[in-house]
Amino acid sequence: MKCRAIILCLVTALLLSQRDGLSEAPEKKVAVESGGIQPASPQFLDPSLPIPTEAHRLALLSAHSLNREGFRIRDGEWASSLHKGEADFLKLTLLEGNHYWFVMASPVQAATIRMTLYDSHGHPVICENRKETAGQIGTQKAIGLIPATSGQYYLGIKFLDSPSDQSLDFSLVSAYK
Amino acid sequence: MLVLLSLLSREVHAETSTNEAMTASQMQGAVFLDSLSMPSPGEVFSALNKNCHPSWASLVTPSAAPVSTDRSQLALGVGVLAADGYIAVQAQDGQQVKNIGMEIMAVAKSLGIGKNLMSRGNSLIEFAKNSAWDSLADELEVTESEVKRTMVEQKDHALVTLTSAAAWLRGIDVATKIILADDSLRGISVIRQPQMARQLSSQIEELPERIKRDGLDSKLIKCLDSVAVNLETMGNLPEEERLSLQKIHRESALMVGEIMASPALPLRKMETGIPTASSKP
Repeated sequence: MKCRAIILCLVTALLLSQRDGLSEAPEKKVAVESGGIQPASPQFLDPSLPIPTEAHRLALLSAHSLNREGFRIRDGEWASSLHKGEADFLKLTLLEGNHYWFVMASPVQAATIRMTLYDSHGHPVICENRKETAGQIGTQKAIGLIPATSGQYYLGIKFLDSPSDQSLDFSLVSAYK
Repeated sequence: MLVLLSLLSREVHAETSTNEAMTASQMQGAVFLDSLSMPSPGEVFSALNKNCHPSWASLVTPSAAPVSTDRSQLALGVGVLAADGYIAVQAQDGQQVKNIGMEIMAVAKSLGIGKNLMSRGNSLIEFAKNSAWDSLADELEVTESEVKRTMVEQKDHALVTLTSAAAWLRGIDVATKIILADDSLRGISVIRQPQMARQLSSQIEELPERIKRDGLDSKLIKCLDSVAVNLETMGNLPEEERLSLQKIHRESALMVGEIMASPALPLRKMETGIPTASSKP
């Protein structure tokens, strides 16, 4: 527990130092590659915004690396709770030409989750998969897509298993560029 | 530090996590969230930038909030102003972003939700002064979200739907203008979102009568339904596509003009004239 708190403090300090422009080399590279995009401050560090839940904080922390790659994180979250075996679905409208990432996080440790994107007919779509670990706290998962066509999509999250009997409180954020 | 960076590790590979299709009831029960299910104007413009190269500076129009006591019209006005803010950010027009920020604050004040937003207005002005365009785009989205959050806190949830619908419609109005000015109609695939028009139309239909009293909302429903039909029935031949786009552009521009009109003043002058490839925006 103590170790986890130390890691969390160090990660936050690292992110703060990046926000203040103290970590120059990788930031500059992103700015050139993405057409002058400056990294915005992570939303969980903005004191004027409502205090996020632990799941939301972890999701924003995981998504922060996308922010540094020029992705814009949308100001909103999908928050829900699942019991083992349950699934939830979210409607989305994705636009051709954009690159999207969906990042979910939960404070529940080592949960097995299936995150799937479906087309407008409900058929699964092949996505990029990315392992995000926000200081190895809780469970995180991220999938990405450059849609071939604009239109309606669905995002499904299924809670398959976890070592504990806890229900899965999760938060999902999205990013695009 | 390197150890910490490795903790934020990532591996990217393509995969489909299941072969099972969704059931009809799962599709029916899927959640629709204003903040994530709807593309923001910034998202639409980002996709357009990749498909064609709009001249954003020529799309910036002076934005003045409607002078009205009608809360529905004011909520619609916030949506149009937010979309106008994204256009000004794309055009990198700092003065216009500041003006729009002030207008949004004025409308928020008229709606009785201005107190929470003062810091947002100041941030917009500060970022505009420093030409921090990406921070401005983020701040605009946060400002719009904060207006909506405050509406919900004040049990005015219905107004959120109106703000979202107006922002989406203004996005479509501008997007169709950009696409019509392109010989090959590049970017047309970006706006093929008939389901979004249908969703917004049905959400407005379900609003309480006290919100829908002035007729502006029924016009908006009619406009959204017409946009949906035109997007759904758009042919694949360029001439058919152009005709449908012209209709969508004309109707959405007229609707935006009505939203932004002050009852005692003339309609906001909207360019409803159909752009041609020679009059590129």
